[in-house]
This record gives sequence, structure tokens and C-alpha cells, in this order.
Amino acid sequence: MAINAGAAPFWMERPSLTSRIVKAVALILIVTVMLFPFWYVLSVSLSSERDLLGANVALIPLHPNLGAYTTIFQGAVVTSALEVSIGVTAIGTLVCMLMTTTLAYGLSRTSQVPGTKFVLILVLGTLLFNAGIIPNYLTVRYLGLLNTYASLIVPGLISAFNLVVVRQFFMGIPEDLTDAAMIDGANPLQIFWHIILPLSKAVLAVVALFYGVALWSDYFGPLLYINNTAMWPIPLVLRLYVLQGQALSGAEQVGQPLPPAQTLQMAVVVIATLPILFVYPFLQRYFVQGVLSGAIKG
Amino acid sequence: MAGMGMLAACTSAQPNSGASGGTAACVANLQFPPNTPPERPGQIVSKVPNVPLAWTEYPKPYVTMPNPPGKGETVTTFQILFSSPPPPLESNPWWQQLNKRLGVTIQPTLADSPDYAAKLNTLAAGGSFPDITWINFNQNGQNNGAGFMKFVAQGAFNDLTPYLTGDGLKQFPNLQLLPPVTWRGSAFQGKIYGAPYPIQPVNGQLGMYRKDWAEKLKVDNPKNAEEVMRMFVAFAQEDPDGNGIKDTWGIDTLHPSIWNAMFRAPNQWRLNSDGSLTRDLETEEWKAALEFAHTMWTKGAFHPDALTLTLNQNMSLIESGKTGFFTQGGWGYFGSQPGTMTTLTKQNNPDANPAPWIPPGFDGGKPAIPLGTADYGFGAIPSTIKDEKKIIELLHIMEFIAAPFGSDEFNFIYYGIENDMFNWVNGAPVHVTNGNQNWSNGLNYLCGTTEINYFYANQPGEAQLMQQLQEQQIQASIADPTLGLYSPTWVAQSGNLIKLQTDAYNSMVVGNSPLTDLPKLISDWKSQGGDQARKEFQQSLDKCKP
Amino acid sequence: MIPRAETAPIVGSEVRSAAGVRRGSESTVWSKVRRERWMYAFVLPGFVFFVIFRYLPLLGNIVAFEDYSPYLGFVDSPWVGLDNFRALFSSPTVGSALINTLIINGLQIVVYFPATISLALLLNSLMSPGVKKVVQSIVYLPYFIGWVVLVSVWQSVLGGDGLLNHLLNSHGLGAVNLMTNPTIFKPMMVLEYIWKNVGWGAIIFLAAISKVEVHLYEAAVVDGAGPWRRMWHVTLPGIRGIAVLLLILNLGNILTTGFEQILLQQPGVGAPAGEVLDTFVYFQGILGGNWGLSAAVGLFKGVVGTILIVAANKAAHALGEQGVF
Repeated sequence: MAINAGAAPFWMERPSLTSRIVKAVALILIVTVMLFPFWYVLSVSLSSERDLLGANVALIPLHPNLGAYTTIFQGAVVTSALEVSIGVTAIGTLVCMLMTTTLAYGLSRTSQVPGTKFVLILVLGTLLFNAGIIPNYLTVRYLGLLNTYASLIVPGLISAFNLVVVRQFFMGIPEDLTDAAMIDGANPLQIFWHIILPLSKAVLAVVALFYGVALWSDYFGPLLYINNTAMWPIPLVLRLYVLQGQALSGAEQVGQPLPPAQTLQMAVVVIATLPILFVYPFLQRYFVQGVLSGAIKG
Repeated sequence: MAGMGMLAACTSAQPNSGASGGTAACVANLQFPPNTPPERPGQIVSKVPNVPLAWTEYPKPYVTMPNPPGKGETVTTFQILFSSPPPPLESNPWWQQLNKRLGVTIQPTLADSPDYAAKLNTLAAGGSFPDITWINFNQNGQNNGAGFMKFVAQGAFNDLTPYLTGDGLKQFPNLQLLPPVTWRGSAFQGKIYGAPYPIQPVNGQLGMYRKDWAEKLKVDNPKNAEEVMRMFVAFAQEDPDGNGIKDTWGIDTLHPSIWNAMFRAPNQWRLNSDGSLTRDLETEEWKAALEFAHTMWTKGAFHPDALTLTLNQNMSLIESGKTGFFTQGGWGYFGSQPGTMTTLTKQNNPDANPAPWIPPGFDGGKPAIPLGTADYGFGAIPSTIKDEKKIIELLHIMEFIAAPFGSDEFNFIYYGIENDMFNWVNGAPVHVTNGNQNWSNGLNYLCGTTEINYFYANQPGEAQLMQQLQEQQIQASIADPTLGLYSPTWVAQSGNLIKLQTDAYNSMVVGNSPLTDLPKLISDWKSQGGDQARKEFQQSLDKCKP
Repeated sequence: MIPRAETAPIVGSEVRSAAGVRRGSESTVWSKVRRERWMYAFVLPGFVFFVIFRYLPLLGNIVAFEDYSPYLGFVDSPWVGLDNFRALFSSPTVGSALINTLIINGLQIVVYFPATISLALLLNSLMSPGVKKVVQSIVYLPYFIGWVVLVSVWQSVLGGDGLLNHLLNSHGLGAVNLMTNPTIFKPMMVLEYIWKNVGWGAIIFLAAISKVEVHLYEAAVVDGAGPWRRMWHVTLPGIRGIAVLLLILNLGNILTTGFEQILLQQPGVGAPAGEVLDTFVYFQGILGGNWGLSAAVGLFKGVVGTILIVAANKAAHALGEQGVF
């Protein structure tokens, strides 16, 4: 059981006034700088033409409207792309986590399991060497995965980087625990499920976030492997809104003027980003202090 | 066709060996049947060859292809997307009608424009191209084909010259209406590989400037280089908007092609009378244009972020009255319908008078404006398709897309289904407001003629003006003598060489390096592949000699 | 306060002796395999994945030795041996591209890496969990905003026509040229990189910090350690393992920079100051369909990265760390 998240740990003294002021100043600075681009993006996305005079920053739109958002959601293309993205991300993250944690556990005792050190080196090798667009495309093609949702998940099933990180955390779990369980007759699967995973919630949350974000924002895979635009996920669809206003000729004579290109671009960023923002707070609770010792007591 | 004069010098026919480098049949050997359009009310045909048609009124619909060209099978395509993807077939009435009118089921593979090259290359690697593959050598603006020229030269696509030139073209009346400059511009190694998407022969060179500013500051109608500089510097330094703040500039980005035109520098390369090629940066004219731009910079005529501004930012700048000049491709930024640059600029600056502008010659004479390829890609048929009947059928499908302005097919392709997607307003089709405009995105971009028919609904005189401006530009244009030739070194190196040239140009103009660095640029350019490319292009041209 | 011994079940000594028996050197390889056979079940699926989806495509790097045309394919494209590598190393611009790459990445390792740790420590030291949550969520926002937008925001503040210069002008000071100044280009790129990534990079350290056992802090407090000493003696050592790991991995990628970020801003300063290896490959390789050169650069990067990772890993071992393998 984690320490009560509402209170400061009892062993921590109250910080001095100076340190609190310094921290506050630093935080305000950091938060302002970090928030600024997103604020700008949000503000432009809600601006109307009049607010965008000049190439300068418009921080508070005086004539806000949702024109950009309604334009983008017209025609149900964006909504169906959102559905695709949500599905691929949810299922993909699950599958990636499954594969990654199992492999990481399998490689967590390379000195005692013959052959696993070799596999580890193999995995590390892929960190540095890249196959390139065409060989990856051909692999997917010859496995018959073109134009399937699987092609968005399977080629990136295990990231060597994430694997190494998870393995590192797994190896940090004291052997006494696992040994004790083995004495009690547990097989590695049970150890994995009842000991390793519960004690690794923090790193699992982090790596799930990494995979989730990667899956959610991947546009290049869908571009290469999916020909049917009805199956395109959000980033690829939205990438094109960024292009509106940059077509070769502006000869179209549309009945109603589009929102200014900038507005559309920014609305795109907002739509692509908001879901992720909502996810992180849920994962944060796994970063609470003292998870390990709780498990020992429990 | 003044611009094509140099290539017309070659007269002998050459057999094609097809493979890489050094071979070229003469583009001028390609003969085309006459392309005079049938007369229609409102149509203005220019006296200058190759100039697009202008329309004073929208023609009444007429049918050009009463029977669907297809035989009921599925036709795969590879096309480019410039905006959001179209709704899927099941929920897309436009697409469904397209299939009906064509008599086939279109199954497109659409690539978004920034990633188009990558996708096309994977299709090549995968060993199968769709039945109609849109290829654009100039898609990245560098005219080196990003490697596509390689596989066209290696035989990936059918040589369609017999079908698209001479008597063969007569079986496709709609395609026959395309101007010869477009066919020649899209030819490769003297052969035609597909039906091109035609655009204005001189494209992207027509400036839009703040005539009201020029008149107010009494610097209008500049006749030579000096007066041009005075005008743009005045835009920046003499407070043309009269608000007491120095918040305006003459021009957004550096626009080298305008100054090159003014000083009559070559269009990429110059073909000398002895058959040798000189690159533009090796010429005195280019140097003079460079020095001019540098002086303009030091006098503050350019926006300080000129080197990194994007098209969107440029549009924003002129719309908000911060710059006095703008240009882009096409002719849609003129005209007073809602949403054009002209309209928006006037909306935000009530006194504004954005007017067209072509530079004068530096010495008061004519400028030398670069003639483009007159095409933006073409629809090709992979060489895996050997059945002649199938090839002809696919060409008829492309012919449908190329239906002429105002025809029933054209209205469908660009305006959609009557009453659902567009209405007739004062005799011209107007898109339904508040409607989804995405039905045909990507699907209708292949070889259509929308860009070579000037028409501005309910704006008398505008179309004729655009046509006259194009006439002026074409008559003062010069061609790139290496158009349609294949130099493997150029294909491989031009990304780097053009960047070398652009970087050095930018650096010298803004003063990051001195103008005395020009000889070094020239020698670097030559040693990093420029000389080799020159040799290969010259060899190609030699093979064209009588 | 909770002694370690209590973590073991009551059969204390038996565990040790049992453990001793298990880990004795008298086990043969085969008996080890038999004993650990479950582990192979864990390893097998991932192993198969890597072979099929990572190593099989790696064979495609053969194009580094060919004049590859996608249409002709791997087999029919002409073989050119080491020509691509020769062209790569004799290119007059590759030298400055390499140096620029190393400088930018070097700066990142020296500045960005500690910044992520510092940010994690700062966030960790916040008292109120509400503030913590809000700040953490804000701080990683720039990561999700693409380079195109971030650069335009950056320019709108620091560009020739940006907020900063407007401010300076209105106070009678001259304009500063930050975006087209070749000398400060690399530090600017690093600053932008930090801006975009530091919040995201801190996440993994936050997770590591949360694993540091509470009783270590408690013991330190009992010993009279204040917050700084606690950070130095408890927190930092606790994340040392993951920090070393990440450092080694970053070293392996020292020849890879952000491509889009540099490409967008390179025109302002020109190639000598702004070209990095990845943009070099873009202009010389990708744009021209010169796949052989791109693959050659990839192989070069991989070899250099491997050497660096192996060396760094050995150094880590020498310092008593676990390293990557």
C-alpha cells in the first residue's frame, strides 16, 4: 500500500522560506516557458481572421470562434480517424507491453540462463542499426500485412530502448524476493505475474506511456503500409490539414472561405495532443514513493 | 513559341536506347495534331500560342464523352493528396458517381504531399505500380525527380508516345486539346510517358504588389532596376501605411527568380551557340542579380526573417499589410471572391489595391522570365500492363479527367453533383456553402484542366487580365534547355547542388558572407557534380544534333 | 526502520543454503537450461519478433554496396562495392556535417541530460501533490507539439520580427539577429531541444526516483541529513543505474540529431554552420534517390555507435555500474 499521497512524508522537514521562494520562482519560469507554445497553439486555433493580423503572436483571441474545429470535423473523416487511432493505440499498447515485459523478464538473468546474453546483444544491436524504409516495407508486404491494422502495431512491437529500460528495473528487484517465491514452489510465470509486475508499476506506466504516445503519433507507418485512406489514423489525416493553404494553385473557388490556414494547423495540433494530456495524470499515481516496501509488508 | 526556340533547332529523329544517361531523342520531334478548341460563347483564345483560355462567362454544359470508357473492372491508381482525405467509398456519393461515369471501380492509393516521394519509392520497391500512377518529377521543387527519373529511364512505365502524339492522339479528343508546350514540358528523354496535369507555362512568377503604397509614395511603375529598388525600399522605409510606426517591409522572402528575370539571367542553364551549357551561377547576369538583391537587403527592403519564412507566413504578412509583395503558383490569389489573397488584403486594409506586377528589364528593356514545364506531373501506365486494349482504356479514363472547361464532365470533376454539392449562380457553378468540400480530394487530381482556363465568376475583365499577363510573361520567357533530359549525376546530386547554390546565395545576400565568395561557390558547384551533370546534359543534347 | 532480514521468510538460513546449492558451479549448461526452461518461453516470442522484423530487414543494408534502384530491386541493382563509402568520406561537406553533429549532440549530453535529472529532482521535491500533478503535465507539453509549430513559435519570439526585437526597438535598442547568426546556431538548437524534450525526458527519472526506498530517506534523516545531502546520498545514487544506462544509450546515438528541427532552420545560417549528418543524408541521399549513400551512412553510424556503446559499457563496469549488458 502506498504512503498516503495527500501528506508529505513524515521524515521530511518543512522547507525553509528561501528555498520555497526559489523553487516557486523556478517553477513559475519553467511553467511559463513550457506552457507558452501550447497556449499559443490553442489561442490561434480559436482565433478568427481578424485576430491574426501580422506574423506575430496572438495570445488572447478577441473574436474567438470554433470555425477551425467545425471545418476539421466535417465529413466524418477526422472522427473515423480518431476511432482508428484510439483502437490501434489501446490494443497496440497492450500487446507491446505484453511482449516487452515478457522478453525483459526472460533476459533479466542473463548470467544464469544460457543463451540469453546472446539474445540481449542481438536486441541491443537493433538500437543502432536501421533497416530503412524499403526493407521494412518489403517485410511487411511479404508477410501479407499491407493494408491491415496489424501493420501499424507489429513492426514496432518491441522497442529495444524500452526493453532495456524495463529489464533494468526488473533487475533492480531484489533476488531475495524471487528466491523466496521459488522456494515456495512458484514457477517463473507466477513470479512474473505476482511479484515482478506488481513491483514495477512505475516503469510499466512509463513504458506504456512511451508506447502509447509512439503509436498515437506515428504517421509514417500508416503512410507506407496503408493504402486505404479510410483506415488512416489521426496523425496522417491531420498532417494534411497543416498543408491546406500550401497547395500549388489556389484556383478553387469555394462558396465559403475556409478558416485561415494557421487556425486549422493549430486546431490540428490541439486535437492530436489533447488525448495524451488526459492520459498522463492517470499514470502519475504509479510514481508514488514507497511502492516496493509496501509490497514487502503486504 | 519563343521559349521553345532552342529545342526546335534539333530536327533529326533519333532512336531511343532507353537506359540511363546520355541519350535523348529530340522533344521537338514530337508532333501534335492541332489543338484549337471548338468555339464556345465567352471563350477567348489568345493570339500567343500556348496561353491558357480565358472565359468571360461560364459555358453551358456539354457532353464530351457520352459513353463510360471503362469495362467494369477495378482500376488502381496512385495519386497525391493536398488536403484531407476523401470520405470512403461507401459514404461518398461523388466517388460512387465517378465509378459510374467511368464504368470502373477506382481503387486509389493516396499519398500526402510531403511523403509522396517515399510512398512512390516503396511502390517501386514492392514491384507493382497501380494501373495509373501519377508521377511528378518536380514535386519537391527541385526538378530532379527524387529518383523517379531513374526508374522511368529503367523502363518501369510504358512509352506512350504512339498514343499521345501525332495521329494517335486523335483518338483522345479531350487530351488533344492540351497545348503542345505541356506535352513537351512533360516529355522525358523525348518520349511521352503519360497524360500531364497542365498548368500555366509561366507559373509562380506573377507578383502581387501594393499599388496603393506605390502611388502614395510616388514610386509606382518602376521601369528599371534602380526604380524597382527605390519602390521596395520605400515600402520599407517611408511608412506607406502612414501610421508612424516602422512596421512594413517591401518583400517577404528573397525571391531570386524575380531579380534573375530582371537581369536576364539564364533559366537554370544557358545553351550556348557552340552546344555547351553554362549554369546560371556562372554568368555575369546572375552575379548582377545577386548584387542587386544584396543591396536591397542592406537597404532594408526585405523582411528580416526572409530566410526562414514559410508560405503561410508570407500570406499572413501581405494580408495584414506588413509587406508590399507576394507571389505563389497558380492564379487563384488574384480575384475578389471570398478567401483570396486579394480579398483578404483588402478586408484588412481598406485602402489596399493589390495589383499584378511583372518586373521590368534592369535596363528598361524586357525581362527574361523563366518558362516552366507547363505541367505538374503526369499519369503514367506501368510497363507490366502490356495489353494494348487495356492501355487505351486507361488513357480514355485519363481523357475523362482531362475534360475541357465547362463540359458536363468537368463540372462533375471539380464541382461535384448538381444541387448536392454545387448550384448554378448567375450561370456559373458555385460550391454549396457549409458543405463538406472533401468528396473528391485527391481523387480528381490527375490530368485535369482547371489551371489552364482563366475564369473568375462575376468579375468582368479579371480573366482577360490574367490571360494578358500570361501572354506578356510567355513572350518574355526563356526556357531551361535541359528540360526532359536525363543526367544520372544531376538526379543524384541536384539536391545537394541546389542547396549549395541556395545557401551561398542566401548567405551573400544577407551579408553572412562577402560577395567575393562567388568564385568559390562556382568552383565548389563544379567539383561537387556540376561539371559532371553538365557533361551528361551536353551529351544528351549532342545526340539531338542534325 | 524495517530491517532487511525481515524480507526473507522464516527459513532464513535454509534459503541461503538452498540458494547456494542452486548457484553452485557444479551445474552444467544443460542442467541450467533444464532448470530455467520456463525462461525460454518468455524469451522466445520476442526473439522471433526481432529476427523477423529487425534482423531480416537489416539485410536490406546491402544497398550500401549497390547503386540501388527500387525498381530494379536488391538483386538486379548494380554492385559498386565500397564506392558509396568512398563518395561519403570524400565529400567536402561531410566533415563539417560530422563535426556539427558531434558538437550539437555533445552539447545535448552535457546540458540536456543533467537538465532532465534536475527537473525530475525539482518536481520530486514539491510538497503538494496537486501542484506536482499540474506542473508535471504542463512541463511535458512541448514534446507533443511538432517541430514545425515549435520553431514558428520560437521565431515569433526571437526572430527578426519577433516579440523580443519589438521590445528592444520600442526601448530604443537595436535589433538582435538570433535566427540567422551562424555562431549561435548550435546552442540555439540545443536550447530548443531542451525546451521540447526536458519534460518528457524527466519522466523516466521520476519513475526511478519513486523506486528509491523510503527507509533509506528515513535513515538519512535519523543521521541528520538535510534535503541537499539526502538528494546527494540517497536520491542520486538511487537513479544512478538508469542514468548510466541512458547515458550509454545516448552515446550510441551520438551521430543522430533531430532532422526536422535542423532542416527547418538551416536555411537561415547555411551549411557550414547548420549541416548535420542527417540533413546531409537528406540532401545527398534521399532527395536524389541515392539509397546507397543513405544506407552507407546508416552503417557508418551503426558501427561508430557500437564502438562507443561497448567502450562506455566497459567503462561503466569498471566504475562498478551495471551498464547496459
